[in-house]
Amino acid sequence: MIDLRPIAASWPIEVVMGEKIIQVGCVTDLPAGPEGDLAAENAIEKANRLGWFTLRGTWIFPFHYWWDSIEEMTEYVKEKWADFAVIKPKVIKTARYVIRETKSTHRVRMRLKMLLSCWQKNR
Amino acid sequence: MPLQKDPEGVETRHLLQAVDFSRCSVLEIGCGDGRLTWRYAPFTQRIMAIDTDASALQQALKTCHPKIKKKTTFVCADSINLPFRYGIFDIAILSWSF
Repeated sequence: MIDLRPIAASWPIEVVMGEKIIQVGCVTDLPAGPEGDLAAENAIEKANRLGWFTLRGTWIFPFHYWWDSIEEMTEYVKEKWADFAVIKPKVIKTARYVIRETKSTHRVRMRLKMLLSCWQKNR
Repeated sequence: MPLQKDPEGVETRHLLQAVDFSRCSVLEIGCGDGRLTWRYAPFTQRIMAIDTDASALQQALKTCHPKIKKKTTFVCADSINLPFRYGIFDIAILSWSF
């Protein structure tokens, strides 16, 4: 069994200009958190507790979402992740400031934290 | 440019290093539009990909490569009431329950 999912954890927001990467803030996790995340944790914990599976390995790695602008990023978060995450105005303001000051071709990205766990079914 | 998700391929690298998909029958729970499915499909034998989002499944069918389509079945189903016999899959992927 492979458990592959993002972990809600104040994902960093970065402005990327060629080789230069500037972190302008983080996504703010809302208290509720993603409903699926909690359900997944509970399900995995139950399967482990009941001895159905044995953990073979766990990996954490970054997963980047890339947009052309901070506005596109903000719109996406508002539309798709409104239940559990928000980008605060201060972060948007900082991103715009960095982009304005550097006057360079840029993209913006969000660095999600991914969990990959491999479980072996017990006979 | 539209939104890009992991163009660096970090997720794919980790998944393929952690899991041997060769000659395996895979059940992917929460396949969505197939984004993750395309990453490992070339390396496995057969895939059953399920999701409760019918429109995402439509998108997956539309964008599925013909070679992958031959070995992949997309089904609108939820993980609580799986419409399959017990023990027919080698690997189950809980995909982005998020």
